Amino acid sequence: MSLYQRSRGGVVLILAMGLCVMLGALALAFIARTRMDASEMAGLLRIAQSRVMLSAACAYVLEAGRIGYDLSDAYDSVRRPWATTYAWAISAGRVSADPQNTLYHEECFGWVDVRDGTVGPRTLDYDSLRDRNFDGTEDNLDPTDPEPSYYDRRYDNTKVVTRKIGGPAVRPFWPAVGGICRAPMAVMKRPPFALRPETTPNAITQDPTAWDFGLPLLRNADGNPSLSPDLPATATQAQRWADWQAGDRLPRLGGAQGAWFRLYRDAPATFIVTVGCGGTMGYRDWDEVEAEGADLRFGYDRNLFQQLLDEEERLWFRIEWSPAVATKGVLYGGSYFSDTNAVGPSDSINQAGTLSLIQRLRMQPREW
Amino acid sequence: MITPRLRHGFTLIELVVATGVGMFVIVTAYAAVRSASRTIQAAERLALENRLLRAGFVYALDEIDYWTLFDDPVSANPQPLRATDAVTISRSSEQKTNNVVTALSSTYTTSTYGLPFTPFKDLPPVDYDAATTGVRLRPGDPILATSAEQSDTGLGGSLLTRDLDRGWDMHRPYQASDPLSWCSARLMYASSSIPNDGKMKSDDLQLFGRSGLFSHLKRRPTLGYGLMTSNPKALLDDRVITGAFGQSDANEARTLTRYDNRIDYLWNVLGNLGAIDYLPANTFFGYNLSDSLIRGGVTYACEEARDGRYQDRFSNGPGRTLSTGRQGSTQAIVPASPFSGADTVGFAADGGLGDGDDGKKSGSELSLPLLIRSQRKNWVSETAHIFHYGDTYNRLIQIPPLTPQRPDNWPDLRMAFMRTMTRGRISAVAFVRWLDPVSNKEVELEVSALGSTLRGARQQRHRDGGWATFYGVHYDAVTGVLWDNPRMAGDPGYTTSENNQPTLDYPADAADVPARR
Repeated sequence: MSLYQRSRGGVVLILAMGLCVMLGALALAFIARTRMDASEMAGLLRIAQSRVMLSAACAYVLEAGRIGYDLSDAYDSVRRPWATTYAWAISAGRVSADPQNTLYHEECFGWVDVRDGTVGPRTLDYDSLRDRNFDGTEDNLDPTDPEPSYYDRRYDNTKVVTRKIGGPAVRPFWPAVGGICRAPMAVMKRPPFALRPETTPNAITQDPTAWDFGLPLLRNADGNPSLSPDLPATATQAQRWADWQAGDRLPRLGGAQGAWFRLYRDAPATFIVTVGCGGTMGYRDWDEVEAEGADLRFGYDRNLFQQLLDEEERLWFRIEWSPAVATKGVLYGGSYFSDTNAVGPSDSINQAGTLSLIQRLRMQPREW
Repeated sequence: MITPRLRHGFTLIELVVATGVGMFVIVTAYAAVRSASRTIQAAERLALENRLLRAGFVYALDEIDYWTLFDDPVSANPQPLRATDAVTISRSSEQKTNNVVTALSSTYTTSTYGLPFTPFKDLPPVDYDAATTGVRLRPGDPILATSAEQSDTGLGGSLLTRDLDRGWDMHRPYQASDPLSWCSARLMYASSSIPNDGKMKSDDLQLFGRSGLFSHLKRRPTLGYGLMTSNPKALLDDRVITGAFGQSDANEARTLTRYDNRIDYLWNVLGNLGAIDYLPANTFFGYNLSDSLIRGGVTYACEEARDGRYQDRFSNGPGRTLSTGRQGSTQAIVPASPFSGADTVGFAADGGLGDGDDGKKSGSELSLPLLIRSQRKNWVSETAHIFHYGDTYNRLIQIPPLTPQRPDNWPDLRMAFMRTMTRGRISAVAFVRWLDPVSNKEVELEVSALGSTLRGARQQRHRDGGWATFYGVHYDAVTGVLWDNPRMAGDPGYTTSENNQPTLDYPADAADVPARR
């Protein structure tokens, strides 16, 4: 091949390559822009999910002060060595044997007990602090109560939780004042008692030739229970009920990142709420991960945890619970009341109290 | 023979082919580049629009949390919603001179009122001249000053401890165990109309008690008649049966003024929505019952506070008057901002509060007295004289420019923001919208989220300007003292530099909260 022929071929090659490079650069810029956009949107989603966690935390505070705590947790004999007293509770008829392994809750009277102003939540028979007088002696508040008190110990103010391995005990168990609880959240595949997300279970027939054209017939229940797809069509009513009650509590895979909230009870009725969206599950730092024995969850990898922490969105709030119940639902912001003027008090009471203060904290508080 | 080596040009055919191929390549390349460029441009545009929308969303969330459109604590300009002014506001003529709080007895009272971000230090609880009025409203002081009054059982005698509270104690806001905080009964279900036959209508049954037993403003309240032997109908009358204090006997009179005065104080400082935000959910805002309804020679009614201040403001409306908020009404934080119609449009606002907004444009900006009255009005309700919802929203909505210095071809990002309370629901709603000048396309996003309440926003602000830093508190379970510091004095690492900075709720004198330091 001559020099001229080679040079002409080179020109074509240069043109073709130049064109390809240009298109490639444009495509790369496009992809990069799209990627950046997606990344920024992911950050926004984290913020949005964190805000949802604030609602979840508020709902938890409202309900936990009244519903009390699940005695089934007593089986956690590692962190709660008094768990064996649950057996007493069953034998004494205080709780049922819980054959279906459903949760059992004992009613309480608020974070500050509305009956006498002491720190709660306390049960009907005033069980609460093991050491009511803080004199180092365990009290049995009710002399007729044979319980050495499983429930009482929940509210023991003794500092037993360390912040780091080998460190001093700095706080009591939740829900005592000074205690912390974490609530990493995941979406269940099918929550118990879930309804099918079906907005038109009784769609009006659109066929003009059909006899029921245009008739709003209520053929199906609205809403419909969400049952397992594996449930046979011949299942009995009892089986259907059991399936509906049980749901599928396994976390739904994929989708958005996990979100969590974390509560620090800094006073009898006030809480520091930390909300976040990311992979740390609400652990404050690696020291806390190790102290809680949760390092397996992060593959014993401090760097992984740090990376998750760096990518995470965290917000801090302070909220105050109030026992005031003059409202129909769970309302926040100090308001407050029934929207009707024609009903009696039963219509104007909710079960959990209200939140009289929500304050976004501009900086991370010292304890949370 | 001419060898290729000696050629110095192209043949015509070569040139034609080369030109054709070259043009084809160039046109193709141009089309490809142009198409790609347009795609990139469109992607950039979409990215810009999305980015603006995201920015607006984050801005809205920040506003929900920090309230800076209403009160910017770091602005060099004065914060308009922190002002106070002496304003004449009509009060109910039903207030009687026998009210314990004589200062509240006149029909028209000129008092100094505040706005939602007025620091409490600027408007402390009124300390009336005890020698003249027998009334002191400072926290902890007895309401009746003279020893003669204090020993007079007819006036309440040794006063109930709870009645000593006045104003607002930031560290003791309606203690959860205080029955005054959690009573949820609708205590007064009576109207001022009693049929001539003396029988109460079903709506008027006072099955849930009497508000006068709970709170009133009188020196010698008549708190019930119990079983009146002189009245043979008494045993059949619901109202008589529910008269918990029996005969009208001075010895059974009580001074129960704390509750009302707390409401009054918060209402004076903060206005409608502010008072509602601070008061617990079970608060009764309105008292309006005739105190001496006589039918057939029998007095049926008990003496209630007869305080009509809140009726038609944020009580439960006329006729049935005691409730925890007015049905259907809208309370609002009225902004004093250049971004709202409150400032740029101006509306007439009458001297009283009962009629709400008359919807007439005054053509003038909202003056401080009008701004103060505006915080104490209903804005949208079936009885308020609102003629145009649009006018109301004009006043309440702020539309700040979010991208005032944008390039001309950028979408115009705007946000409309409003804080109201309607039917008991406090809401902060933002509408984030961009309008693309190129495509003339418009996108709007409504943002509403749970965030800081007014009280929370006031805790974010330093009493003396700027933001306040919250470090934490420490609850001493032994003494029950709540320390304004993450650690108690004496603890390792305790430092006064981590005392929480004073907020708008702090008194002027830090010594007023010594136990917390």
